[in-house]
Amino acid sequence: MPEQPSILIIENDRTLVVALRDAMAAAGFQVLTAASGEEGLAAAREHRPDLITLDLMLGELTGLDVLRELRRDPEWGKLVPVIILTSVPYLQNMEETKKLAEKIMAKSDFEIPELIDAIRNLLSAPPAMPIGSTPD
Amino acid sequence: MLHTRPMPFLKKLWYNYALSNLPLKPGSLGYSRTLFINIFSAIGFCVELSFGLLNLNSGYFSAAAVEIGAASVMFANLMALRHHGKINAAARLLLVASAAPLMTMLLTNTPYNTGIFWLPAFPIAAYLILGKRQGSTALLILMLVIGTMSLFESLQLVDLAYSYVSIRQMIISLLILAVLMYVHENLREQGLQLAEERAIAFRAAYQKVRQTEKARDEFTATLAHELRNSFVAIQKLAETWRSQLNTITPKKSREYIDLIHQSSTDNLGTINSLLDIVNIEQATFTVNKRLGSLRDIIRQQVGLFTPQAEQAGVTLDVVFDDEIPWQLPIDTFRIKEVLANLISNAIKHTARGNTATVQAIKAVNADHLFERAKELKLKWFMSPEDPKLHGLKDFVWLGVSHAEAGLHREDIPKLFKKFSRLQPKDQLHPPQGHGLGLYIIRRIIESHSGTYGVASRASQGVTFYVTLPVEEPSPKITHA
Repeated sequence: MPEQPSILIIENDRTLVVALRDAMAAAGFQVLTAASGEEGLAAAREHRPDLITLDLMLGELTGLDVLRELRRDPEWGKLVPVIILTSVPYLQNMEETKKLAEKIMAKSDFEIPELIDAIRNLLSAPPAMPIGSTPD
Repeated sequence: MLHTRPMPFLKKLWYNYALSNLPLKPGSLGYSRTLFINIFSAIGFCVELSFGLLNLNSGYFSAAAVEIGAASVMFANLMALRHHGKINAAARLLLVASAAPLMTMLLTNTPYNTGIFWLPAFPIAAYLILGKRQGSTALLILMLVIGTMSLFESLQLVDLAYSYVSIRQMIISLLILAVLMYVHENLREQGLQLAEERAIAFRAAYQKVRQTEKARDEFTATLAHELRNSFVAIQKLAETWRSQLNTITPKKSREYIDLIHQSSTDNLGTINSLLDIVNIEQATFTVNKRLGSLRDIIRQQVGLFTPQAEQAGVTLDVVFDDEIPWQLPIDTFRIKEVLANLISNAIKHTARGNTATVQAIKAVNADHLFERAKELKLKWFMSPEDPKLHGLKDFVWLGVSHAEAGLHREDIPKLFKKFSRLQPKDQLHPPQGHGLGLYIIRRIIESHSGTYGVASRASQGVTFYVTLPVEEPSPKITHA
């Protein structure tokens, strides 16, 4: 792990991206951002961040699509911690999303410090943890 | 599963004959049928009455009563037909009159089955007191009673060896009963069919209400989510800003301010559109047409949107036909709203580096519109086959054309509807714009007696347009 862990924010609301980007940078992370699923997937593969925060409502390629694609990667993508940051009180594929992501947070009531704590927790956890078994 | 069947001929006949209140036109099929039944009833009336009088003369009081009763029924039919189903006062009077011989028999204590003649008084009273519907039922019961009685009597007459009278009466009785059965069966089926049709109509109406309700609920939920997300983002940005107040650079502050401003403006736009919809749905929505300049409106709106277009990397262009009259009968405020919606949609859906063009043409008809467009070298996506342009006379066409790949052909009919938006295949796909603007445009343009529409060419671009009449089409100025 490098000295400054890198975070990739995949989110299409520009205002929220900037808020998270700068708050995370202030907390000592290296931050990458992507505004769509396609862009996010490309950035993830290229830069291999230490953690990804992912929105579900993204466009043609949804957050869940991105997540599935990532987990298909046998090495890095399978293990990279993903925090889902979503507003959709959705029922579709909830089980699958829960299984594939480390943590799900609701956009409507989350605090930035809470998100940063969650990121720190996930980053300090043993790196080779089996997916889906992390206690919150 | 309910289904509609075509009404059989006889049923239709009965419908025309007894239930329809519609006035029939001479020469129509219904009229001929009614005429036929009229003649039939008239003959029946004469025959029954004469037999009745004959019987009365001979002292067969009960038989006479039956004949006169039947005659009065015929006459009632005749009157009902003349007045297309409405039993009028004369017919009622006759029905009462038909009860009179029965009463006479009762009062004079005629030795023959007298008690039973009380019965017809009830349906007649029902007719008079309850009116047509229950009266009809009463009439049927009366006929049933008369028919049955008559049949019994004819059997008794056989015993008494009045063979001629008995056979004739038996035939009449059976006829009455047969007609009765037919009528009853018909009425029942007709009732069923009517119920069926009503059920179908009701179901369809209910379905429609449900669909609208569902669309509205989904729409409200999505909109509420979008607004909440946007406000959460603004809130988070403010928090981030607050946490680094002492260290923040002016450049970053500027970025924050711009983002907050943009998000707030978008949200305000959404809320304004929502209020507009509420307004449009209520009676308070009015269009006040006065003479106004389209040229000024376009100039002003393009000016207003230029900064936003520049920010999005979109060039905003205008092609204005000099043939357009200086003054048009329009609600300036509302037409500004229409153009603002068209332009802001175009900016949102035009890719960076492309151009969105506001175009306005005066034409006398659809063909002329395309000629003028050619002369003005318009780059647009209109099709001469567009049915919305046919039949237009002396109008101004106003549209915004821009390159866009994203408009699916199957989405086009959904545009301009109240609670529909493009694209969301499921909850996870964000909608493209909230689709309120187009509905508002539609309502405003409809109030101007104009048309509206969208034309697109696959993977090239789209033209959203409206047309406005050059002259006021009716003396009505304000539309609700």
